[in-house]
Amino acid sequence: MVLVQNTSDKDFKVVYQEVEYIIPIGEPVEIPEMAAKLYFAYGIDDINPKIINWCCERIKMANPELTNLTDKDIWDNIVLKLLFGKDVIKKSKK
Amino acid sequence: MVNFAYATPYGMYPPTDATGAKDYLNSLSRAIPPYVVAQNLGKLSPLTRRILANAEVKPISFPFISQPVAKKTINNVQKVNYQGNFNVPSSIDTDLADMATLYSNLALSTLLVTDFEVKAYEQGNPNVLYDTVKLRANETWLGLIDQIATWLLGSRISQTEDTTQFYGLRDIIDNGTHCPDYANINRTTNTYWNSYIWNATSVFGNNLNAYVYVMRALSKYQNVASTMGMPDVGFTSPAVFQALAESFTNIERYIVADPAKLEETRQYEVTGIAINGVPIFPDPYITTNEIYFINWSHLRLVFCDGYAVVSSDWKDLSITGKLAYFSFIMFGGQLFCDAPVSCFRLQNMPAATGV
Repeated sequence: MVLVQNTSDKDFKVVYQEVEYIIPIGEPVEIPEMAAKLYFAYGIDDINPKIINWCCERIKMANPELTNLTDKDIWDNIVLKLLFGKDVIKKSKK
Repeated sequence: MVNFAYATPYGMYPPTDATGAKDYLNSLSRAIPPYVVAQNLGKLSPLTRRILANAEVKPISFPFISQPVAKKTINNVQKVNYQGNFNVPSSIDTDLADMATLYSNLALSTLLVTDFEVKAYEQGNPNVLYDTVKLRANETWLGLIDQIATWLLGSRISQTEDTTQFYGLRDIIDNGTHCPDYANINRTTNTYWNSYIWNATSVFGNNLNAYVYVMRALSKYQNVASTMGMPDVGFTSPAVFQALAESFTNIERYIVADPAKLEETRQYEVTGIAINGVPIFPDPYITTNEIYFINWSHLRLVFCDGYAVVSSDWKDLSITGKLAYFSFIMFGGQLFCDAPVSCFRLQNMPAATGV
């Protein structure tokens, strides 16, 4: 499991192996590491446009209300505004 | 010994006085090619029948299957002038590490016949053997294929992955959110190993005719994954199929939605509807409101040699304290796709109520 905190302005969710994980604004939550990889490219070093495209495909599938956003909108305004693991703890200490 | 002669079907052969009761039972023991199994099934699952009828038997040892996969489009084309110069490649452009490796799975079913039934047959009452044992044998076969159909058209993941079960279509036609590691290749960084899954209403809009969703999905697929060619066929639940048929006006059902047939010999034909040239058929083993679009060039069932639907000879159980004979049927292989992106799923389709 990996701790993730949503600092964007949208609540959203991810679905992994039939389980739905809500990622609310502000509050850190735990999600499976594989789900973080699939949806946010968490832990992937060489992120390329194809990986970004598939992450956005998955986010759109889990969140139909985001379907009309472009990949760039989703990546810049949602995925890049997520904090993971140690970063979440650092932020909460501050 | 198990009979491995899967390639040549053989049927009943007459027992002799010398061989005794066991040979009567052996008349029920067969090694049957997958296509014969498929053609003799009842109206169970047209998709399973199609998969079985076109299965491959590979001369490979249980339990491994390795297969190169379609990773990317390779474009090595060069322009050549009248000097005739070109660049000689210095390395190969496929990575052998990207070999899909699957473990085969084995399904085994059992059939027990008591010595009393055999003796009754020997003493002049053949109907005992013919009617009751043959019925049980037949039901055992159907039960096995019923289970196989459930597996092949379903998933081996239910919160945890059951690696002893065959992969199903739901594991293969997936974008990683259900089956993140199909055939030992991870879907996060290996983007070529994903299938598209689209939600009909959120991607294409609300309140459209069902066939419009299919047309738009096929157009979208052609746009994003056309190097794979178009899928050959779609399979869906009876409720979605019915809604699809009803979405045409009466005249369109004859003109636009031309009926298509799934080739099914010996017992029956399955009639479907062709939309944009892709025929769509109903299958009762699909219970969700989605359509699976399949490209047969990239999806097939692979049997392991020696386990391509074979039944064993009869084992005498008297040594275990039971007056009976026992036989088992084995079905070993794996559902394999070398390019999951060649198939896709259209979810959240309209469904007819009461079907």
